[in-house]
Amino acid sequence: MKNISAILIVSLFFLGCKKTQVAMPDSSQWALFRDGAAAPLPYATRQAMEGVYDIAGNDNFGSLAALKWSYVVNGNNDTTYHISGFFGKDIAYFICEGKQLNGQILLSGYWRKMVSTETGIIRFTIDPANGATVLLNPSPVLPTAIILDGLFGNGQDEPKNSITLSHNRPLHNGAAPFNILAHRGGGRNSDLLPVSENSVEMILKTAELGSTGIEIDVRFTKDGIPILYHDNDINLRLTQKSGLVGPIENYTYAQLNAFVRLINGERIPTLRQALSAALYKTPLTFIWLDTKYIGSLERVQALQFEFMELATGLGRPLQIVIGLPAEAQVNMFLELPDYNITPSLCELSLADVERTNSMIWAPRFTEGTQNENVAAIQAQGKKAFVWTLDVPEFIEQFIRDGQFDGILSNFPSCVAYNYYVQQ
Amino acid sequence: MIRITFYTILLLILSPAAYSQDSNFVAKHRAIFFPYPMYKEKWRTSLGFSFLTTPEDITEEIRLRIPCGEFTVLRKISEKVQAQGRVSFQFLQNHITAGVHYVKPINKKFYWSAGNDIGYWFGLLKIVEGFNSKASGWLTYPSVSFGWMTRKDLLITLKAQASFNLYYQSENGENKFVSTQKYYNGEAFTLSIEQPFYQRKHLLLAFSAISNKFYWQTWSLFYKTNRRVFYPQITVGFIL
Repeated sequence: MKNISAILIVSLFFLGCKKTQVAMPDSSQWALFRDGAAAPLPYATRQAMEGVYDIAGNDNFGSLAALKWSYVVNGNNDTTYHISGFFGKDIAYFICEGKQLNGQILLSGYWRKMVSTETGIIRFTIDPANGATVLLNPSPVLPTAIILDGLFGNGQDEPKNSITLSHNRPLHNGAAPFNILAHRGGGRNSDLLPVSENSVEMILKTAELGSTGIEIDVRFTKDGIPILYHDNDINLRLTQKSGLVGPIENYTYAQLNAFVRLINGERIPTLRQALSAALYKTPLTFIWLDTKYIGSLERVQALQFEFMELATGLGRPLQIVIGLPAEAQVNMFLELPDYNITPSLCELSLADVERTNSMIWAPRFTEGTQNENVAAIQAQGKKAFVWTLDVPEFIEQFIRDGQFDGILSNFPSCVAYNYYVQQ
Repeated sequence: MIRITFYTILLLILSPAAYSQDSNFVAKHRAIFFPYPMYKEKWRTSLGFSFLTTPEDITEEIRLRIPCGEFTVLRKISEKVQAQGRVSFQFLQNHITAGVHYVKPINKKFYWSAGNDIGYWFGLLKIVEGFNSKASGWLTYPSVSFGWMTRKDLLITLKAQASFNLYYQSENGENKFVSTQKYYNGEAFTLSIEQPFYQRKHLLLAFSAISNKFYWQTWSLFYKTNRRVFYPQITVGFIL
């Protein structure tokens, strides 16, 4: 009995300590997609493919999907385009690349459910008779019937389950742009994404997940370099074992760069690297700098202005705001030169929004949709965002019943789905 | 293997009804977790507290280690059937269970019980600025316990408990959603020891390994997913 109890306790301890991981499937094995004659899809084709689709043949993902393209710039003249499908069930999505071959459109990638660790390979074809001919026309004439014949599998298994997507209507597009903001640069480590929170790699990936903007956490190194890092200390939640412990502010950037790697192997990025990635390599239009430290905001403000000017010079819409989560940050903000014209986002009361002349009010979701307060802020020409909204039922309600201009979430794909499928 | 399991179950069912009531038991072992029949007693109660450790990879720097008060009461229905009630209270979030358990001796050393409890939890977060949240839910907890009475007045119990979510309701401001989805939530294994320690006072100490999709103490911290989360918990109780 003693032995059995001991074995049970030890087993439970080890099972409990075992970290859950998601093995991302390798979707590059589809011979047809790898055919040397397969060519990229033109811009007009990609644009015409976006929309809300009915799902048939399988109930694994719900009844509707919102399909939207995004891009990431890899280098000079090298851009990768992804089509993402956002589903209404289990916070599921797929991310595929697209090609054309012999008059067919091919999509190859993977799917994932954020409520679990389920993932797998997914592939679609659009036959000439199912819309490919129209879509590949240099000027696609819409609306046209588009049918995506798909197969998906579990894990690394060859996809065998069928799924069919039929174009229903265009994506919802409100009168004013709606901000789908991703927490921690795109998502948290606990949601088992293949890249680490608050990393450049995450920022490059986040548009695939439906984001139009990001929230990132800013701290300073010992030598005054603003970096992206959420927690107070170097810990195993965020980083691999390095031998360094204690507050991250105790180390210089050179030390962190040399010895610390984020949980998926990336380096801790400087704020400059993060802003540069967002500006030059992604379609993101909004960056929320969440200040996680107590100290002068001057260096952050300088980078904020520098990158907003660069964006203006490129003709690229990009708003960068300093987040003010608490009274301490408000006081630091009010000490800044030109704070009055510095774009900021205030999480506190409406009076604090006025005091700081913030352009955005961002209350916590736990107080509800607050439509009267949101209307009052919008009447002043300001915007209202809500954070951090992760419960799918509440995301749906806030989009349906609320008046917010944006939602910050760890599940931007869920926000994207609920926003784009609106009638 | 199937045959062995069958004979084990048969042995448990047909085992001698009772090794006569141990009149010394009550004086020696006022047990709460240990599955011992209530021959002469009508009530057993304990008061204590538990500590749950929340998972760092999900709750991040928020490490919830608020002690949770625990009050347990057993009420005799018949010698081998007991009603059990438990209140777990943290003021802002509380959990109440009530159920019936069948208790049976296997021999003089070993005992077992099986039963089911229905649980209701509710949480309220309105005292902090920026929060206007409340939530509640119903669960059911079937369980089975095996007890070993050692020679040194030490009672060791291993309890396996499953949980099924029956109902969940959450409100934030004017927004509300209700889920009546019923699903297997997870299981908990508890190893408890109960022993007299000072002037015939009895202490219980329990270590639980809980693996759940949803745990009521974390309702305000993060969104439930289909993934299991591991929670270690320690319970200390004074048997009254």
